[in-house]
Formats: sequence, C-alpha cells, structure tokens
Amino acid sequence: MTVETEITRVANYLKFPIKGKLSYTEDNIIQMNINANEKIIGFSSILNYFHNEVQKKDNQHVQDFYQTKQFFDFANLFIRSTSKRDKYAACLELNSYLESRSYLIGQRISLADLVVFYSLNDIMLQLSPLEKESYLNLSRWYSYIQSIETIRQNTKEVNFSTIHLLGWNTAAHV
Amino acid sequence: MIIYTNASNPLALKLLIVAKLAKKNVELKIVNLNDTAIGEPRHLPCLELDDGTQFFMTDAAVKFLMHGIEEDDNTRSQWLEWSTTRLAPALAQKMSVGHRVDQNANVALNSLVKLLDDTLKTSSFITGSKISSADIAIWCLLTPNATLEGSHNIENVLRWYKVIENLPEVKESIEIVGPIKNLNFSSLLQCNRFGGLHHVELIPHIAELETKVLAETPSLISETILPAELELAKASFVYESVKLKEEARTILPKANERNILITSALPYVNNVPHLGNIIGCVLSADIFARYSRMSGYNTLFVCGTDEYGTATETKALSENLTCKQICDKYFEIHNSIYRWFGIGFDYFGRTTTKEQTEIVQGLFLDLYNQGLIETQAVEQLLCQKCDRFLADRFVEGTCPHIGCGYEDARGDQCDKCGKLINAIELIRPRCKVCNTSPVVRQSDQLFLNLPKIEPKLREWIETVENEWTNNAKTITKSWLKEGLKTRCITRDLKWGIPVPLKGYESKVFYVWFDAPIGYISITSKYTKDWKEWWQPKDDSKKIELLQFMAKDNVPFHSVMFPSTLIGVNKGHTLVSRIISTEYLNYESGKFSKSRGIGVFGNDAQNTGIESDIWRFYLASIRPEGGQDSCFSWDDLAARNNSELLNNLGNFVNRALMFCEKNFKSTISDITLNSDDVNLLALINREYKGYILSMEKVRYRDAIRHLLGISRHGNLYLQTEQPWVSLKGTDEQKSRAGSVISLACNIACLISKLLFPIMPSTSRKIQSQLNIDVTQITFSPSKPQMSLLLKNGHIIGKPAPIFTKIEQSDIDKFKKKYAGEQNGNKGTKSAETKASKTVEELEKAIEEQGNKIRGLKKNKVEKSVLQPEINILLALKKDLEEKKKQAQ
Repeated sequence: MTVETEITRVANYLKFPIKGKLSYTEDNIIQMNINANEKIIGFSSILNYFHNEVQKKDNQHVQDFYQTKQFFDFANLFIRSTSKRDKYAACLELNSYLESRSYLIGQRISLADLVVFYSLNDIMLQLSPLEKESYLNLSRWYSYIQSIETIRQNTKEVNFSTIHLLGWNTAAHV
Repeated sequence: MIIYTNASNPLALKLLIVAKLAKKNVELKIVNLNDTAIGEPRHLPCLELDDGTQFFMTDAAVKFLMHGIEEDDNTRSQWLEWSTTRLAPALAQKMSVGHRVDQNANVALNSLVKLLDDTLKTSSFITGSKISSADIAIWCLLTPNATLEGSHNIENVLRWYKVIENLPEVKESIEIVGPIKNLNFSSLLQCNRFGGLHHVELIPHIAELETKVLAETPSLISETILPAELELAKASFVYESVKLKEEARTILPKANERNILITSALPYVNNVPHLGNIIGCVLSADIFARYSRMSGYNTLFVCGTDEYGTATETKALSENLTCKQICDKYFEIHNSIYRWFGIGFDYFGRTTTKEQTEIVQGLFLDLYNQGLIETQAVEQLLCQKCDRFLADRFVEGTCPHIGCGYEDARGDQCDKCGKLINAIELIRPRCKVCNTSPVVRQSDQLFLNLPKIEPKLREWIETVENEWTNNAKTITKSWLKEGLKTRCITRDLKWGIPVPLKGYESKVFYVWFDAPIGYISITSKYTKDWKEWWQPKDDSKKIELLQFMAKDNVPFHSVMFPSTLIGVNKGHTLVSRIISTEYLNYESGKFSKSRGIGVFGNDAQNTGIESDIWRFYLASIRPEGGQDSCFSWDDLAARNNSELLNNLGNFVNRALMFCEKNFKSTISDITLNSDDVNLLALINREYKGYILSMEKVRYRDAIRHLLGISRHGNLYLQTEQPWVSLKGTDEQKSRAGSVISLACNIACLISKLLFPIMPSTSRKIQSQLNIDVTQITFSPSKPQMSLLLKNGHIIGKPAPIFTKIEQSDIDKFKKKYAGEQNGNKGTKSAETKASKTVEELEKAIEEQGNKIRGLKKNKVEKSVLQPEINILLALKKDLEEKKKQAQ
C-alpha cells in the first residue's frame, strides 16, 4: 500500500476531508496541504498532525498519546522501508509486543492500530499460513482490526484460515 | 527515568540532552541489544519511564520529554522526522564502516546539509529564533566522525553548530556519554534487529509521481579540501632517503619500543582448515603482523596446531593411524596450506612437544601450590569393551528431552531438538566405536577453582576490555554475568599431557587448559629467551599481546587462559587486545568440518586462482563489525574483475606502460600544480583512513581506502590526458612527464599499502617499479604521501598484474564445491521424506495435536509444551512440502 493510500484511509476513517491535498516533494516525500499557506512534509508528521487534531476531542492520557506517535515512526522506518529479511524482524517485534495486549496502545483502538495495520498489509499478504501461525499474537490482532469495516475500507484481506490442516483458525486459537 | 543504549550511539546523546533541557532526571545505562531490561520492540536507545513504560523510537521520546515545554507543532515534527528518516540513514550509509555504501549517500547527504544551511541562513535556529529539540536531534547526528570537517559553503550550519556545542546541557551530557569523537554510526548496526538504518532508501521511490522536479546537483562535501590539508600534502611530498630496518635474527622485546606479540588461535589438528578458519585467525593475524612490522613495531607472530584431545583420538580411529601419525599428517597439511596462503609466521609450532608438557605441568603445579585446584567425583560413561571412559562425542543414544526422543542424539547435544545434553542422561547410551552399552562409573577429576580467581580477573578485564572487539566484550560479559564455576581440567584419556600428581597419573589435561598454554611453549621453541615475551621483568620492555580468533574461541582467551595465568601469579603477559571475528558462511549455508561443506584450504589451491586474490577477497569480506558475512563465488569474481583488474591493476599498468613507452622507463621531475596538490590531499585522506582502519583491525575499510587511492589515480590520468599533451609543446610534454611520474609514485604508494594484504602482488609491482618499499616503514603518525621515486629513477618491465576470472570458471567452481554439498543434503532429505507418506504425516499431526490438547488440559508448563508444539509445526511443514511435491 502506498503512503498516499494509507494516509487517505486514515483520513477517511477520521472523516477528515483530504481530497486533492496530497502530493510529493521533489525528493519523493509525501506532503499534505493543510491550508493555502501551510503544508506538512513527511509520513509521520502528517499522521502526527491528524493525531493532534483527534486529541483535541479525544483527550488520550499523555503517556499513551506519545506512545501512539512512536508507532507512526516505527511504521515509517521499520515496516514500510523493509528489505525481505527485515519483514520478519518487524513481525517478530510486533508479535512479542502484542503478547500481552489487545490493542497497540491502551484499551481501545487508536491511530497506532490503524497505521501499523495499513503499513503491515503488504507483509501480511506475503506470509505463508505457517508463518502467520508462528506470529500468533500478531495474527490475532491483525485479524481483529481487519474485521472492522470502517478501518479496512478497500484494503486487501489477509486470509487467516488454516482449515485444511486441523480445522483451526489461527487467529482465534489461543 | 533511564536511557538504555549501546555504546557510541549518537541517538542516545540526543535523548540525554533533551532530557536535560526538559529538566528530567535521567540515568544512562550502556547495554547491548540482548539485554533483558529492554522490552519489545527491541531498539536502542530506549527511554524507560519510572512506571516501566518504554519509548523505543527516539522522536516520540523527544516529544514526550518536551511535553508542556515545547509546542508539538508541525514544524518541529517535520524536522524530527527529517533527522531520523533522511539525515540519519544517509549519514549511516556514508560514515559507518564495514557496509557497502549506497551510491546515493553522497548526493543525498549534500543536498540535506545544503537544505539545513539554507534554513539557518534566515533564522538562528531550525524552527525559529529559539532553540528546540529539533536542533538537538540534528546536531547530535552531525557530531560523530567529524562529519562537517573539511566542508565549505555551510557557514550558517557551522555557526549554529558552535552555539549548540556551548550549551551547558550539551556539555554536561557529553561528559556523561564520553567524548563525541567516540560516537559513531557503526553503533547503529547493533541498535536494532534491522541492522540499523541501512535498509532505509535514501531517495525513496514512489508508485505515483505527480510533481517531480530535478534537484540541482550540489558540490560534494567530501571533495572539498581545507587549505591546511593542501599545505600539508605539498610539504610532505619530498624525498626521504630510505632507511632500511635492520632485522634481528631472533625477535626479542626492545626497550622503549612498541613490542607486539601476535597470536592466532591454534587450529585444531584433526581436519583441513576452511576459508572461514583462515580469515578468522591466521590470515587476519598475518595481515596485522605485516602491517605492524611495516609500521616499525617490534613484532613477533606465532601460531601452531592444537593436537591433544578426544577429537584427535576419534580421527585416529577413523583413519586407522596412531594419534602421533594423525598429528604429523595434519600438521603438514596445515603448514603447507598456510605457506600457500603466504602466512608469514615467525614460528609455526605444535602443542605435542616436550616444552609444552613441561610448561603446562609447571603452571599446573603452581596453581596446585596456590591452593586453586580441587578434587571432585564425576560420573562418566565407561565402555568396558573398549576399556575407556567415553568422551561426549563418543557416545550416542536417545535424547532424554521430553517430546524429542531422537535416537541418534550425541553425548553433548541433540541434533534434532538442539538442546544440550549431559552424556550420562542419554537413554540407552551406546559406544560410538563398538556399539556396546557403557556403564556409569565415578571417577575423580581435578577442578580449577575459578570463583577464587574471579575478583582479580574482573578487575583485570575492566582495565583492558575497551580494546577488545565488541563481540569479545559481550561474550565475556555474559560469562561473568552468571559468575564463574569451578571447572574440570582433567580427562580420562590417553592422548594428552599427563597430570603430574600422585594418584592422577593415568589422567591427562583437558584441551582447553593446555591449548592456550601452547602460545607460550611455541614461543619457547622459537627462542630460549621466551620469558622476555611471556614473563617480562623489565618495565621498559612492555609487551602488547594481540590475540586473533573467531568468536567461538573468546571465552578461552578472555576468561580461562587469563584465569590460569592470574592464578599462577608470576607476572605473565596477559592479552591486551582480543580481536575476534564473526562467522563466515559459504554461499548461503555453513562451512562444516564434519560434513565437509564449503571451500577448504587445499581446494583454494586447486582452483588456479592465486593465493593473493584469495587473501584480498577474504579480507574484503572479513566478518567484522558484528556481522556474519558470506563467501560467494560471484562476488569473488566481481571483486577481482572490477576492483583489482579494472581499478587497481589498470591504474598501475597504465602509469608504468606509459612511462616505459614514452619516457624510456625514466621518472621525470615532478612540478606540482594546484590540481596535483589537490590530488595528493585526497590521497592523503585515504591514506589516513587506511592507517586508522588497520590500527583498528578493520580490513574491509582499509581495502576501501586503498582502492580509493587508485580510483583517484585513474581519475587523474583521465582528466590530465598525458597522451594528448605528449603531442603538444615542450611545456606540455614536460607536464605529461610530471603527470606520469606522479602516477608512478602513486603506484609505488599503492604497492606499499597493499603489502600486508597481498604480499606477492605488492612485490610484483615493486619489481616492475624496480624498488623495494616493503622495508620502508609506514609512519602511522604521519600518513602523508612522500616522493618515493626520484627524478631519474629507472623502472623495471611493466606487465599485467591481474587476470580476469571468467564466469565459466566460476560456474564450474560453484558446481564443483556445491555438488557434494547438495548431494549430501539431497539424499538426507530424500530419506526422511520417503519415510513418511501424506497419510502418515496427517495421522502423525492428528496424534500430536491430541497430545498437545491433552497436555493443555492438564495445564503443563510452557517449557514442556513448547517442544511438542515445535514438533507439530515441523510435521505440518513437512506435510505442506509433501503436498507441494505431489502437485
């Protein structure tokens, strides 16, 4: 999924009008016009802006508020720009992180979940059923986020069924 | 709050300064990535709050620290993002060592710094008139490796840099982190599982390009030279008369000189060494020894074969020879292989000598008299038929670990589940030699009381470990972390050094105890005055002991051997620098002695590729700097053809041929113009880089710098075009002479710097130049090119230095050395696959699944459950493959 699509889907979810606002700098970095005079350059910074806007109404706990932001950077540096070898490292880290958590931050959906979900889509689509099974916590979380229509939008669905083996659904298996 | 970081990480400095600006109380802890204090995702530096929450991404941590102090606005956010996603990766690419450099790094970096300068032109700080955390974030990235040194046209950045440098918070933080010259981007390689930031594309590609304007090409920072550098280059380029070093017949320590004793891990005698062994120890040590001698240090380089122990007995049995015959046979093999590789030991000895016996027994008795030896009863397996105690490798049986049950587990480890095994725990053990079932017998063994020595050992390690490679430090720390335990130093074997103690005459010393002492006994074979190296009495003759090895050998050199010597307490020389490599893999698999996979020393000889090419290639892929590396035939050919043949060889040959054809092989007077001085300054940079890398034993970088010199040379010939000016006026002709003579001088410098890595090639170039410069010392303190070939010097006969390695040969070699490898694998996997059909596998999976569900019902521990789950997963994998095959 391109950064452009990802940011558009996040904006759709938040019901922010975004049409025609995204473009790229001459260095191929994504940018967004906020108004006639101001634009924001960079994937994390655009999400940072969304997140600050949401915070005005939502009032997340301070610590969680900044913890959410670090997943924007993580998605940017370690999920999006990965080589073949690194994709496993990203899955491994998220899988361990999610061992004791239902959501990336706190007890409900935050922008961190959305951003990691979209950024991870390309990698998840490539995993074999066995790999998905070995990243059990990640799969469970991913499958849950995927099931929320307003988040998924047109994102390609990842299949977690391993029915042909033992009748387990990987993501549901504890 | 705590900041966890690995050493030398510039990002940790950023967190520390920001925390100080925010008046937060923080503590800095240096850890490595595997430290259990760090949670997932594992990234360093990591900021831990008092409630245990961890920030693993630094920008978010900075924003958190500055909460309520700075506004979390878009400008700051963009600059923070810019610093970590654009500036840091570009710097990491350019500055860190041991990694291939992205072609775009220079271009990207220059435009980034330019952007920074433009921004600072109109405002005092990056985000406006006040300093912000964005300034700190960017500043910290520009500190290491003197990034800005030698740059010009960035006055605004330099002004801004100075202002921040003088902030009290910055100064305090630097005091905690240590001098900024120690910060480097190589540390990022060990700061996460992704190998740092090298994976980040410097100039990203996007799918849809909407607006794309070509950026203007800025001038390159690295190509700009300071006036001081030019002056120095010019002043240094004078002829110095050749001072020949007199070589003593026997090398002994000299007063007030650097006395360097170099050892390479003793290769075990039972097999032919492979390329990984060669670059890991002997070749790495040899390159350094040659460099050290040329630097004018008083250098002794010893090595030998390690010959005692079980493995020799096994080999002797399998080849039907006596242990002595095996040792003699393999000693010769090792010796000839190293000779072929041009390893210049001052002495290559062996451990089966009477000197070794005397010294080992002497040291043992010293330890015994100090009360450091204890007796403990050990349970061992005795094969009554063979009439001997069975070493771990001599027993096989069923794996005792629950859920494994592998029938051919070895006495030390199970090949199937990978767990360590205590030989007496094997179910149904059998002697590997005669297949009878051994019995358990108690036998008294001698133990070295390491806990008693430990305090002194720790004290000593703290004083020296800074000079060790990172992996050596880490491995040693993990050993010390658990505390040392008494360790068995004897065995019930025949092939070894007898224990000189009543009641223990039938036992011998365990190899780990006697092998390192081999360094001492081998030196004693070399000279009767060996004590001057190993037990120096004279304070003016200080010894630096440098030990080269692969990482598996570290504990013996950092803990065991020093413990013995510290315990003996007779002023023995202890290791100053442990230089340990990671592992070298073969193509994509592992070299394996026992399975015979990969290229071995004798195979290299049979390829017809010269030993110097092997030396060069192995040094340029040396597994250093914390990462394993990989031998690849394609890469070997590519480096030979592009780097040696087209770059270095081409330059030397062009310069010499031109001199021969047009100047009657005579060097002319060199008149330096500003271009020439510029060239010299650039060469001196590479020269300095080469010396620094060699001193740090970073051969990959040293080679990069060396090739940099010939690249500059090629470029010089290309721009000057002496073949054109030769046809012009007299003035132009003499310019052509000057250019060619300078080029020949550069070729001469190259031959000198090449000597440690490729000695015979270096000699070849020197004979073509008609000079011997290997006797001329480097001056590590003064890495500037001087005039080596004077006006009127007559060169020898030029000839091509390297030959092309053809792809057809490479394909042949690949097939030849992988053929056996694949063959082995093929038959093995075919066996296991053939043994089970799809139906059988499905049945097995169902059974295993039921077993797991049963275990879960009973709420067994995870440690018991996990192996079962692993088996299930393995079965499923097999099934999947099987189904794929069937399709």
